[in-house]
Amino acid sequence: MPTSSTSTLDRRAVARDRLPGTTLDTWQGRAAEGPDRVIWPTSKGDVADALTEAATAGVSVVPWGAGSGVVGGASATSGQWTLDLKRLAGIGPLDPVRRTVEVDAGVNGQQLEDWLQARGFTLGHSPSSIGCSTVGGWAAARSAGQFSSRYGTFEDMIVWFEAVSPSLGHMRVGEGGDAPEAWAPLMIGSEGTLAVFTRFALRVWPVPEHRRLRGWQFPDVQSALNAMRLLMDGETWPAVVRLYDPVDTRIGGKTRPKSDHRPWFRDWLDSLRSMPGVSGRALSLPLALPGLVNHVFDRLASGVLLIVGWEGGREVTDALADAGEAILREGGTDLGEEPGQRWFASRHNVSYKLMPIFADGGFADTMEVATTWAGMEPLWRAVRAAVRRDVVVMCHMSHVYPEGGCLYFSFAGRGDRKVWERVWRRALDAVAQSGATTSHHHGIGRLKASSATAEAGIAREGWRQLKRILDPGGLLNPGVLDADHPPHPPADAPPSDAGWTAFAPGQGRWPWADVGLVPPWRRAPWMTSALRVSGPGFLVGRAPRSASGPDLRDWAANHLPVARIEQSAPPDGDGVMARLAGDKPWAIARAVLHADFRPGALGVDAGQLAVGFRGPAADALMSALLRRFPGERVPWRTYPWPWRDLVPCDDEDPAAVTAWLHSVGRPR
Amino acid sequence: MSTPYDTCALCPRLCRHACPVATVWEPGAPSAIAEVLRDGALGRVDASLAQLAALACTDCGACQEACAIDRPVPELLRKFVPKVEVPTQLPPIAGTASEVAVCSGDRRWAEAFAAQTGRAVASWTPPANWHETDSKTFGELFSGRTAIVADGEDARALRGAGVVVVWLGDALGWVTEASCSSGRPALACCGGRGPLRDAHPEPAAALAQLWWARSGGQTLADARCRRALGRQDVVDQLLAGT
Ligand SMILES: Cc1cc2nc3c(=O)[nH]c(=O)nc-3n(C[C@H](O)[C@H](O)[C@H](O)COP(=O)(O)OP(=O)(O)OC[C@H]3O[C@@H](n4cnc5c(N)ncnc54)[C@H](O)[C@@H]3O)c2cc1C
Ligand code: SF4
Ligand code: SF4
Repeated sequence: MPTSSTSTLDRRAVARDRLPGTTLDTWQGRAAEGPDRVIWPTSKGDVADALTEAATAGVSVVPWGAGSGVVGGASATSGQWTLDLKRLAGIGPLDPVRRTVEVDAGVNGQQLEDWLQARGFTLGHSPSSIGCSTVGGWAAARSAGQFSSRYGTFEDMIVWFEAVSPSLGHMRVGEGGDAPEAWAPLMIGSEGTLAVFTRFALRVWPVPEHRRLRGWQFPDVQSALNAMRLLMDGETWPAVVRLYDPVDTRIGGKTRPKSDHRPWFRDWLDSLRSMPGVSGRALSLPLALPGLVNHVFDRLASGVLLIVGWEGGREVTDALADAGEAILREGGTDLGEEPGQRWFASRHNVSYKLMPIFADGGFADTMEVATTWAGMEPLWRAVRAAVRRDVVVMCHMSHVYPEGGCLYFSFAGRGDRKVWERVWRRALDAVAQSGATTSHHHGIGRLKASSATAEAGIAREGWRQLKRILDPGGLLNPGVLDADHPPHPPADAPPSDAGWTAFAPGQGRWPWADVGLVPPWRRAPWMTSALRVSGPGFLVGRAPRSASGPDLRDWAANHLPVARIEQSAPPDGDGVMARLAGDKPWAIARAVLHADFRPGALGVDAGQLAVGFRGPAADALMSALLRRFPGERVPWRTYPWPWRDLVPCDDEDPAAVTAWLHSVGRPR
Repeated sequence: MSTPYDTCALCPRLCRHACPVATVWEPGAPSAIAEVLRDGALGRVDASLAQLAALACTDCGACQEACAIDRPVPELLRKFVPKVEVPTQLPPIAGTASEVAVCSGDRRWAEAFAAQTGRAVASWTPPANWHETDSKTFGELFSGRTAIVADGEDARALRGAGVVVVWLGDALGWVTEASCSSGRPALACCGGRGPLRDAHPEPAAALAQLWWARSGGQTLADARCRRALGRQDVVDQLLAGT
């Protein structure tokens, strides 16, 4: 049995994660006691021993990374043991050729990033909780960082993972794995309910050589959303796309970095207090009269702020940013570099804004939900309407994909647990009714178990099946993810969005039409097409492609005869294409990808590598490509993505080549 | 009612990556300490629990440096620390010593060094405020010798005077290349802060882990620090070696 403790201090420290309802409880003197015991495994063997011991003792087990979760997933109470994983803390080795790093599950995110940066690499994963969360927690909650449109969300970064389950013990899933690959989408995002993650191999990138960030003003949310969609349709692959709604433009858009020497979180309060009718009054007034405050904000609002940035190799970044900025100039006003730089410098600081609200007797919370492009503006209105009488509400939209994006609402209200609960109920109902997904990247935990279960309907059986295999005794994290009686009515109809086409298995336009073939690590973060699966009373993959919880699409499509499979359309039409000289096509492919090009088409033609680009940056990218790699332009042709046809490269180190091609897929 | 710990108590532990203790021990996270101290100040928990929480801190200051709103955690916690008994003045540096151990907290570090390395060592406990002394004095004092240092601030002062500085842990081989993935053993003595940080880019995590392992995972002060030096039990455990 690994080291453990039953001391008050130890149990208290892991009693709750950062779910704001429990912060309110603690603040008001209702601190939870915590689990019966805290255990610190230092190896996967320790994890297995702890699970066995817990089963014998008849207690359930809650994995704990750093407790930064905000949905109650890591909270524990009596009758439970907490498995604190932070002493699974090894980093390395780093393989600079394969561009992968191995890392233990308990490693703190910022410590990993510092370690990588010291060696010239980055993970590219930058949640604002990076300093207070762990790698295992990221996988468990399917986390998304601020640069997700370039590097992908966390599941895109995983090459393989190791985990320990109560029934099967140690397993490895993914490359070189001994457990079925089909388990991966269900285990990633399973929030400690199926197994305990112990180690990962993650894909890494060179530290970007060049970054371009600017602010843009748009007249309203919809016009900015249109521009964002064009950026994604045009395959310009920005790293950051961040739209603040009118209220957040006044508040979040003004966040300043530390160097200002001003406790800038005060901006939030100041902008509330400076409003007509509120000036000079205590914060309690705006929090007591949120309806009025929302009303005043709506009237004062003028325009919205959009931050857009590109990063990577200089030449490619400039080509993409030039094309993207031309799109933005069409409908927006260029505010220059300053807003972008300011955001970058203070990008993790926004979380400090929440503390003074609690301290002043209120509560603050955030809700991240997601939907298709056509659904975003209506969803923004619907949620605001649902909660505006109870809380001051603002929203930003980040984490965008070719098919849609995430809406991130911030609420501030009176510090009353009943109000907090009501706001969540109303907000989640509004989201569910509009056919969107009630969780994008914070996880499901206990807070959203009902709404997520309702969304998934019978598709949730995919998770339950695996639960019966991996944790038949229900040892791990009971009450998280799954609710028996969903109070939320499922959406009447899937969100309508032009560009989604239904197909029968095997008939889709892209290889992942054969559902089950594209686990995350075979997918490029810049895939242009997404998949959703629906049926009577359920819809999984409500767009965008990544949402919290286990990814049930694959399972549903393969196991439910009633499943209807739909695919969002990748951009149609031709682009520019070249065949690159050289008889080692996949070695060249690796070099092309290493040079930061993100081809819209890639294939082998007559023994040579064909590379194609689409969208407004296509020509500039092709010129840049041909300056680096000898080749000639040829007519456009669409190739299936390489994971179909790829054979291990025998013309160079096969391991190195195929490993890199994880980013676009690998051979079957 | 507000307390000095409110802000940290409400914080989602944003500086925890910087804190050498939080890396291995959850109640050591600055916000976890603050939460208990706040409850202590409001009479919701026993004062002894609050002091226990505060003692987890090594006073390294890394959290404040990482904090975007510059919360003075070390200063807030200092008053919970029992007075450390600084040993009386030690003999001045012996002329024969080839190396000098500067032990501003406790001469036993130097003795341990001498015992474990079998080398002639002069130990020296500097007078109070010695950091402010004219750097030339130290240049002369340490001329031709390597200073073996157990404390980040001492290291800063000595390095500023042009003296070659080696961290005690490195000198004793406590942290070997094998135990540090960077190949350059980390300095956790100042929580990764201070003048030796440049020589030790590794996060304090690796070393804090090692210290934790040494103490059997049971001590509060698992990272070494001036404050831990004042704790007989910790010092004894650490000096007992692995
Ligand atoms: C201020 C703040 C900002 C945030 N910003 C973001 C953001 O930008 N993007 C984002 O995605 N999230 C964000 N979050 C949410 C949170 O940081 C993420 O959910 C993160 O992934 C949780 O990691 P953790 O290590 O703290 O996990 P914990 O909170 O400890 O646990 C989260 C869940 O995962 C389980 N778990 C943890 N480790 C393991 C393991 N090794 N094996 C199995 N299960 C495990 C737990 O049981 C729990 O259910 C934010 C949170 C805060 C407080
Ligand atoms: S020092 Fe700053 S970052 Fe750390 S807990 Fe306090 S407020 Fe948070
Ligand atoms: S001063 Fe150092 S040890 Fe103390 S809480 Fe801050 S970072 Fe942790």
